[in-house]
Amino acid sequence: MKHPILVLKDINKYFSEDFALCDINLDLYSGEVHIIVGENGSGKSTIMKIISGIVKSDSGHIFFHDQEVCIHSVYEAKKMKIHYALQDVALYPNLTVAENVFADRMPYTNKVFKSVDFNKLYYDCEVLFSKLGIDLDIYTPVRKLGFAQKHLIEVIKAYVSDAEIIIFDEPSASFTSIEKEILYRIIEDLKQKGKAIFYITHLLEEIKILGDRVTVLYQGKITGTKKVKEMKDEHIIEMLCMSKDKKCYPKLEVELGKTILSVDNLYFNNILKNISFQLKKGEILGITGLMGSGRSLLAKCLFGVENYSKGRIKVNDKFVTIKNPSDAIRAGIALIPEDRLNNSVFGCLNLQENISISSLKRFANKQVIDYYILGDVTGEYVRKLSIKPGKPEDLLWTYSGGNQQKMAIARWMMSRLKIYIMDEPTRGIDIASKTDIYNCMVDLIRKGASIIFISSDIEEILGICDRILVLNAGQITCNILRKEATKEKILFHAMSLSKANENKEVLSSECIFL
Amino acid sequence: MFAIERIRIIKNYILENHQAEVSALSTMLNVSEVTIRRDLEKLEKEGFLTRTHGGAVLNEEEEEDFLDMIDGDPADYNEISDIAVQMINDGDVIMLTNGIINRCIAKKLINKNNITILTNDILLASEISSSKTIKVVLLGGDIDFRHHAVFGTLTINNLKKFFVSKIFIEVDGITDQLDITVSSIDKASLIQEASHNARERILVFTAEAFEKYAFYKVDKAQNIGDKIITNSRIDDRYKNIIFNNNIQLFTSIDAFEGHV
Repeated sequence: MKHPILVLKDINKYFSEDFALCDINLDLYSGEVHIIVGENGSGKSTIMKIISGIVKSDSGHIFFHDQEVCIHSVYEAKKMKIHYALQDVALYPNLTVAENVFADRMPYTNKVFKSVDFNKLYYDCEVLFSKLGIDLDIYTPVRKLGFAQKHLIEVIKAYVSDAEIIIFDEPSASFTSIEKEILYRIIEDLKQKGKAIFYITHLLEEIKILGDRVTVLYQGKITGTKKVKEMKDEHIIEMLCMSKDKKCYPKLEVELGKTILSVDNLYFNNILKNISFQLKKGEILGITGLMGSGRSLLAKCLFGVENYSKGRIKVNDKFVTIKNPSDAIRAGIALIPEDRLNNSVFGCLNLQENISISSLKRFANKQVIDYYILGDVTGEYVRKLSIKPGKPEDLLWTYSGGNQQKMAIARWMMSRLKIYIMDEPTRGIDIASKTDIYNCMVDLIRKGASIIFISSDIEEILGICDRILVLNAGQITCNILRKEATKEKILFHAMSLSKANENKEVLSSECIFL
Repeated sequence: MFAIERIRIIKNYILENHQAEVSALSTMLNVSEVTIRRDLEKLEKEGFLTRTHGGAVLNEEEEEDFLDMIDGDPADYNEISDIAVQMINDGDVIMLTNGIINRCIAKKLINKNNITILTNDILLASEISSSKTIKVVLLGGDIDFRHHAVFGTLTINNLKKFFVSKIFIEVDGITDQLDITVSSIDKASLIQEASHNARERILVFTAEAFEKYAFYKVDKAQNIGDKIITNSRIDDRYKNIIFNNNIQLFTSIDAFEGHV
C-alpha cells in the first residue's frame, strides 16, 4: 500500500457563524486526481488555501511525506513543491505569454546576475506549446489575451512547475471545448508523471473523465470520499445534488403565445439525430447536455453557421430554409454564441460599432449612416444594460467578459428579432453581469420574444426555463416542463450509461467540426 | 411627402394614442427610422412630446398625480411597476403596502380581471375605487396624514384576518448588509406582520433606497422577501449580495424597443 503524499487531519478554521471548516480529513496520493465538489461557499477554496499557505488553520495537522509540517506562507508551500492554480487569474499583464509561463523558473545564462536566456525561454515555450497543441502567439503580452486564454496560461504554468502537488481551482469555468481538450490532456500527462492533483469542479463530465476519487463538501464539512470507478452514475448524481435548491434566478411567468418556431426531424450528419421541438412565443426553452452532446451544434444549425443535412424548420407557421446566418436573421433568429471572443466580439472595434453592427439598417438615411442618432440609441442601450465603463469609443478587448457578453446581447436586442438563441451566455462571467443577463431575458419575454437558452449549469436551467430539453449523444432524451423537472432527472437523462460509448465518438467528431 | 405634412401626421397619431413607437411610425409613413427620430426630436423641442426609449409619449396636461410628489425620475417607478404587474395573474388576492411604487402598480391593474387588493394606503384605495374589476379592501387604523396611510395596533389586528397570495412591500432603505429600513416604527411592525401572511413576498424599491438609511430596522431582506424588484442601475456590489443570499433579483431593464 502506497503512502499518501499529503494528509490533512482534523483541520479546523473558524471564520464566522455562517462559515467555518470543521474537522477536515483529506489525503492525497501521487498519481491521482482527487476531485473536490460542493456548492459555492462550502469551503473548497479555503481548504486549498490552507494547504498552499495563504490561510492558516486554527487547529489540526498537515502531514507531508509522513512528516508533520506547518505551512506558514506561500513561499514555504512553494518550497514544498505545492502549486496552487488560482481561480482568479494572477499573471503579469505586460509580460509576454512565454515569460508568464516560465515566470517561476526562468532559464538564466548567468545565475548570479540573473540575466535571462531569452532564446532558450522562447524555444522551450515553442516546443511546449507545439507538444500540447496550443495555438497561441508566445510573444504577445498577456494583457491582450482573452479570459479563457489567461486561464489556460495558469494551467500551463502549473504544468511546467515541477511541483509534486498541484491544485486546480475550477480551471475550466471559462473554457470552450477546445481548451477543455487541452486541459484534460495536460492533467492526464501530469498523472502519468506521478503528480498528485486536487481538482475543484462543479461539472459532472470532469468528474467522470478526470477523477480518481471524489470528496464532497457541504457547509464546511466533508460528507464523504469515494472512488469514481466504483460509483455508479446515480451515486455521482446524488452527490452533486446534495446542495440546496437555489431560488436566486429571477423567473417571470408570462402567458405563452402560439408556436413560433418548430423544428422537425433535424439531422446533422451523424451527430444530431431526429431533433424535433417547438418553441412558443414568450417561452424560455432550456437545452442542456454534457459536453459533446451536440447542444452548441444545434444552435449553430438553427443560425445557419452549420448546414443541417435533413429536417424542416418552421418559423411563424412558414417553412424556412436556413443556409447561412443572414437567412436566420431574416427569419428572425439571433444567436449569442458560446465563444464570445472568437465569434461575437470585435475586439478592435469600439463599443458603439460593436453594438450597432447588426442593426445599421436602422440608422441609414439614404444609404448614409446617421451617426448622431446611432450614438443616441446605442447610448441608451449601454445605460439600460449598465455596460461598464461604457464610453462609446472604448475598444472591446479592454472589457471584462461580463460586459462583453452584455454587449453581445444588446447588439441583438437592438435588431429586434423574435427568437434569441443564447449559448452559455453566463459561463465564466461575474455574478452582477449574470443577473443583468437574466433580467435582459425577462425583458425579452415580457415583450413577446422567445428564447432558447443553452447551458450546462443545471441549477440555472431549472431556475429560469419554462421547458427543458436534454440532449444526449445528439438526441433529445428528455423534454419536460420546469415544474416536473428535477436535477436528478436531468442528469440521469444527460448521461444514461447505454450511450456513454457513442458519446465519445460524438465528442471527437464534434471537435473536428469545431 | 413633405416634412411638415409628416410631422402633422405624427402629431395627430400621438394625440390619438398618447404615445408612439419609432418602428411603428416608420412603417406607417414608409420613411426611415432616422427620419422619424429627427422629427420626434423637433417635436420634443417644441414641448409637444417627450422622447423615450424607442418611441415618444405625449406631454399631457395631467391632473394632479401622485407621481408629482416624488423627487426622482417617474420612469423609475414606472419600470418597476411594469415588472410587478407581470407577476400578478387574473384572480389573485394581493396586498400592497403604502407607497408610490405600489400606487403605480395598482393603477396598472385596471386591465386585469377579478383582482382583490388589500391595502393600508388611503390614496391607493381611492385612486382605484372607480374600477369595476378590482375589489379593494382598506385596512382600518390610525390615519397618518403625511403618508396617506393607516397604521397601528388596529391595523395589525385587522391584517391578521387575511392571507394573500402575493404581497408587494415597498421599503424606504436597504443597507449593504441587506437590512431593510423604513421611516416609521408603525410601518416596520406592519411589514413584519404582513410578511407572515403571504405565500409570496416581493420587495419593491427604487435604486435610491440603497444609499438611503431610514431610522427603523425591519429585518433582513432574505427573511421578509422572496423577490426584489428595483432599477437596473444599482451597484454591481448589491447585485452580488442579493444573488448570493438566494433572493430573486429583478432589475427593471427596459431595453427591448416595442413588442414583437
